[in-house]
Amino acid sequence: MRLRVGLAAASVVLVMAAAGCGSGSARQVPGSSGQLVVSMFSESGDLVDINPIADHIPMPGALIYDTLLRRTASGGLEPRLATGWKATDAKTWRFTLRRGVTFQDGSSFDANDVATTMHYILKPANSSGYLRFIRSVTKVVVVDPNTVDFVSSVPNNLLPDYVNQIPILSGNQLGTAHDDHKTRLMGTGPYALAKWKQGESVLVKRNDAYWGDRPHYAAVLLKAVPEPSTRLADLQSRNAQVIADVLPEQAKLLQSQGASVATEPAVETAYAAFVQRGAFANVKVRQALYHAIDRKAIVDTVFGKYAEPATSVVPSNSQGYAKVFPQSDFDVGQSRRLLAEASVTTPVVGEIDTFPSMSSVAELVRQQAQQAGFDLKVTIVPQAQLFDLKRVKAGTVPRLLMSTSLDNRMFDAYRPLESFFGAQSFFADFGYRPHPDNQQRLDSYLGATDPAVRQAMSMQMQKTAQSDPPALWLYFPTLVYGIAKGTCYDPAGTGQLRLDRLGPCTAG
Amino acid sequence: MVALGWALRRLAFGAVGVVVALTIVFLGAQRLTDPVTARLGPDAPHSQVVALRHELGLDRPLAVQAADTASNIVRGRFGDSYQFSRPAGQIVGPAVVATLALTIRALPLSLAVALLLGVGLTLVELKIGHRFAGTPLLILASVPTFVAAVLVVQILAVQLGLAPPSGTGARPLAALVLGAASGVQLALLLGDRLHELAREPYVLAALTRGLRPGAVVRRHLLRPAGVQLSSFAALEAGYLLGGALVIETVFAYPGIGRLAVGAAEFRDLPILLSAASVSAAAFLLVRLVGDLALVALDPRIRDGLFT
Repeated sequence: MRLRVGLAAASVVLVMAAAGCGSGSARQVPGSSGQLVVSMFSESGDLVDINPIADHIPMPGALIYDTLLRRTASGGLEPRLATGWKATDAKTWRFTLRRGVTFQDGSSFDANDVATTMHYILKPANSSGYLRFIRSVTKVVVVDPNTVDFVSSVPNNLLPDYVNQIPILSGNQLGTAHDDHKTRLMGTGPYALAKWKQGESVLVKRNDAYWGDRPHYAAVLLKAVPEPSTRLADLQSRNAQVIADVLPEQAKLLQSQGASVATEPAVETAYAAFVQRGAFANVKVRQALYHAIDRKAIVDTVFGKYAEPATSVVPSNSQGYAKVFPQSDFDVGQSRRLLAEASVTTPVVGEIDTFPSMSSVAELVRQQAQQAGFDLKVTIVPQAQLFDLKRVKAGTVPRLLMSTSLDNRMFDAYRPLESFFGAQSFFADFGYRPHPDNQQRLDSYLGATDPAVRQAMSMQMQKTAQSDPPALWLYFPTLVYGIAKGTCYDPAGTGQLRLDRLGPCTAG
Repeated sequence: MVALGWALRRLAFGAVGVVVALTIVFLGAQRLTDPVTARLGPDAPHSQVVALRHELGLDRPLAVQAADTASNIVRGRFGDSYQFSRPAGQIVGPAVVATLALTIRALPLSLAVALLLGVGLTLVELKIGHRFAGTPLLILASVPTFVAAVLVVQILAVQLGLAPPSGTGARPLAALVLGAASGVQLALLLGDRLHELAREPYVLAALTRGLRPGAVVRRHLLRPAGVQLSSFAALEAGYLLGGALVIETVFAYPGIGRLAVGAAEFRDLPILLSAASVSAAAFLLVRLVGDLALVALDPRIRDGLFT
């Protein structure tokens, strides 16, 4: 009897211990404390690292730092730390800087901060992801405390479009020996870093000395939550007002529960690169696979309205967009004819390597390709290992490397065109030989002032990829956010959550 | 004095074990991805790739890298993380603390579940004279941890609002799933041990004498079964201290498991070595404590251990 009582008591203790030892109130009431909670992953990373120069944490970065310029919903640029910008000659851009701006430590912002930030990024050893944005810049010259010149090695009419992504750090802080800027973020932005819980969250508080409009929320808590169902639970349990990276099936559920779903345009391109060996060394086989894939069916099946089939290397709202890959190119008969012309043994055996979040897309590609005479096996690898050359080069089986990458918040085709088709194309490691004219075309693209010239160059480069495909361009995934009931978001069309467009819903 | 010598010998063997573990991690990591490509992405400028490879020392012969790494570790330095360009200790430290906090909550829960299910079900079996407990325990044990975790999030966090679903605030929920999952495993082992003991002549004699099953369990089975349970629990604690990847991922919990897997994806050797050292040392230490607990529970073991 005593044992039974003991067991019963133990069960009660067990449940109480498990459930009751939480930290105070489990539900945070949205808006009641002026704190916004955002649960996300792709824009924050895992928050083990918050190095603002590494370029993989756009979300806390955008709150703490300002950029020189900012993209508008209509695709133009608006002043931020720079109030004016103009080309003073073919290779020089001059930026006039805002006066009276201070960093969150109270120090003044001036041209030295811009120059120091850019020079830090330009040094390859600092491993900044922004280096590729300003690769053509050879030096940044301080003209006076409020004027700075960017000098490029080649005419670069796109520089302002790319500079608008780069946070400006304090020159004083960058000059310290302890790399303070990697852990104690300090910028001129609307929020200041209050607390960083490594691998978990970043808390920022309103910067009362901010030069721009006063932010609505007194504080913002950004949580790194890798599991989609937990992000959803954060919103459902009112532990977050906004969640990012919402899956299409979750979007329907959220709407049925009274929450809303907001979108921002795609900043990524999903593609599958050919490792050109075995049958994939044959251009006709690669073209055959291109015709075997129905991109629209993939988008409809996996994403519904939350993606756009790729008809170019960039979405249609980008500079340099040229519709090269019409959806009607899906033609199983043509695919089979090309395989017959290639005189290869069918089924063509190969592999599709991809990472977990693209597994359903890879499976659809496998099924579609099977209809045309391909036998592709899907292999899931960690994202960081997908392009590892040692791994890719092992074995002899033809491979497709399926990925989404190349964050393109500039909404311009230059960077994808350069990475895919330029002289330094990363596809070269997989057997692709870029067209010899492409580098010249890229230089023309960069130096052009007329958008029509850029579009023509983009078209020419992509046409070479149609005749000798280094990859299949699949779709552009839209960014999808879940917004709690009572909170409203006015999408900015800039490919990133903008907190200045988020707030409590007002009647009417 | 004999015990102290034994403990010191165990610690010395443990140190050798840590060195072996680190050697395996170092050599095994060479087969993982190229950290430079992983960090910079496939389309990084060549100059940046060369600079980073040099900065990380990856352009040196492997033997030189190994010697350098060993010499640094001996001096307590694991180097800067390849991914984060900060000392590995600064990154691994908070994750170890988080995992320790989770383990401290999960382990008692695990033991409670093991005792509750293992003893409770054995008691019922002894009463009805039929063995059935293995099946429900096996069914419970076969529920994937991921599914259990998602269910707990939905029921306890979303429906009942008992704790937040993510972050360190979700620690009670994470500990509940981790403790319950580990407890069911221990309950299976405990149940088996109790049944073995229940077939011993002295136990059968007690039952034949009319002693109630509860009293039999309490007087004759719990202590010897506890010896085994403490041994398993020590192993389980060591395992939990190594991090629980699924639980940490579902609950967005910043522990050592997620960190180590991320480091493996990037072949972040300083983080991997640092995390492996902590895990291996913790495992060995817990084993040592477990063995001492064994001795306390069953003095007959002392002679076997200390000689």
